[in-house]
Amino acid sequence: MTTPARILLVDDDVELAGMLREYLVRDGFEVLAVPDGESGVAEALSGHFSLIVLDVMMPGIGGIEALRRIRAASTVPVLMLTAKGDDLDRILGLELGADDYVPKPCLPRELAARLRAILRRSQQGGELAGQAPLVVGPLKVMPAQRRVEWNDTPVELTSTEFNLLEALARNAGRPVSKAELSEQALGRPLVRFDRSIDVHLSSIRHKLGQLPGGRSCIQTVYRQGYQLIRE
Amino acid sequence: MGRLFWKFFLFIWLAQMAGIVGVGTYFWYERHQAEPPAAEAPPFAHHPHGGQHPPPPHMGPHRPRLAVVPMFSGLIVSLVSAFALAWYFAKPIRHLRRAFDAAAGGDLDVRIGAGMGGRRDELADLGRDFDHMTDRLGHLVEGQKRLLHDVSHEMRSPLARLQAAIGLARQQPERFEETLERIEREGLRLDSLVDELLTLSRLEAGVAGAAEQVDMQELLEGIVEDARFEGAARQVSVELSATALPAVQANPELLQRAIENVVRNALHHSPPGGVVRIVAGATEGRLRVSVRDQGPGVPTDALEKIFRPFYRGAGQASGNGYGLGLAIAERVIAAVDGQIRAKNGESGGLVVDIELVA
Repeated sequence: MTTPARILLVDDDVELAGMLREYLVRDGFEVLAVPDGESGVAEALSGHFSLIVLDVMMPGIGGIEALRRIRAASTVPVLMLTAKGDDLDRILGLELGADDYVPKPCLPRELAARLRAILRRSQQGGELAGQAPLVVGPLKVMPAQRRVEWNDTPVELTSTEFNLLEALARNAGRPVSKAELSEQALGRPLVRFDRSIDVHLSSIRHKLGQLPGGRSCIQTVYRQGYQLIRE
Repeated sequence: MGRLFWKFFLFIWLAQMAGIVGVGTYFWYERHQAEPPAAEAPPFAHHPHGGQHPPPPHMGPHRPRLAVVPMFSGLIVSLVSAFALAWYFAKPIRHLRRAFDAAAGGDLDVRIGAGMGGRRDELADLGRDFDHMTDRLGHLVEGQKRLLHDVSHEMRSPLARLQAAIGLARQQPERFEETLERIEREGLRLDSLVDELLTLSRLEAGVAGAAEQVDMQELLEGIVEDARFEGAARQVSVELSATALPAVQANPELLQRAIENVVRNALHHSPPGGVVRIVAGATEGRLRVSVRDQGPGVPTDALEKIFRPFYRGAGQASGNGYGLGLAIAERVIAAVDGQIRAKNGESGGLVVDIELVA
């Protein structure tokens, strides 16, 4: 990376945010830490940041509400810091369009690695410029612009959703395992009992239209993973 | 229909049958007594002008007839009434049993309530008691769950900081000393959190420590001295007005901690340069201590909530205290039959009133 990626860190624990900032700056990021949801949303929508790290548990408007407000206006990648064991927050966050999550007491090293994985994937567009769009039925995936169209109407996808759909489109007509999807779209190995992929896919299904006959274009293949139907 | 129904049914029915048979036997016996003279000397047979009179129908030819029809109808009626009575007793009990089963299975939302119909007897009372019990248990379990959730969340913050500090120590070995200090600080925080939790759980279990005569004057002066020292850093001053306070029967350590927590809370919410006023006085066997700060006060609907474990006002930065101080204070005061209440002062700020039995 030539210019450091700008990260917005939203966490009410000022002391923790300070330490994480220090760590991440040393690690080559540019970091702004804000202590509450409202200013977090305002900063996130300013467009100056390539990634938002959002703590779920905050007084005032919590992380979930902040995410909702960010997603209402932007597809900037969002990483949620969720409490360990709080699956509900995690699933809710992913459903609302968070790109990934990290359980809260986490090593800064782990956080930095996750940030890099998300950034690498969301910035792939430039490297792949000039690549031909992938067309599968009514679906058109344009890796160069990181855009998706369904029946020529643009579909708003988050960065992770785009990665998942792209991985499926490249393999249209055959099933792609969840492990593979996790590696390609989330940039990390699949963890046992991790429902992230399923949640992301259900939200993609929701955003895309249906095939004639009311079927979804993404099929669950029992024990094998997911498959994009090639007509 | 369970065993109980059949037991009731058989019992009631047998009792009724016994009654019917008894009464029947009595009448039969009565008639039997009345009859023999007529049977031994039939007046009509040797009557000089005796015609062919048939014997009156109510008298049997030789002995009185068994009353088959009344007995049969008595049987039917007793069956029906025994059935109805047994149903009447057994039904609410079955109802209760189902509710107990549900409660035993962990469903504390089960209520008998209207299930008892319009009854107003001991069984209905039992149903009400049951509802009351599940209600109370539900609240307790809910409270415990919330506490556990809060505890795990509260442990998480220092743990997260601990991990962040460890990460920093790895990344910047040259600042080892500084990060070690941070790690130490977080360790101490965890320790004090565990300490406060233990105190709280002991208090909730009803262990209030050995009580003795506590000199309140001395206790308050000690607390104020500490508070002045603590407040000095932020130019918050502490004023105490108390004279000739009576002694109080309590555990000195816990009582000191309770009042200290209230004063600390006041210090904490005071703006720089503010004043915390502590006024204590005794009237009619009650000792009142009121602690007033010049902070932002508390929304009216939260005045009771501030005594809940881990309650945190909006906009309050985390990292200082765990929200257990006032909860501990409330339980200590309650353990010595005292009262603690919070209200907003007329001129702003929070006022916490403590009332103790002198």
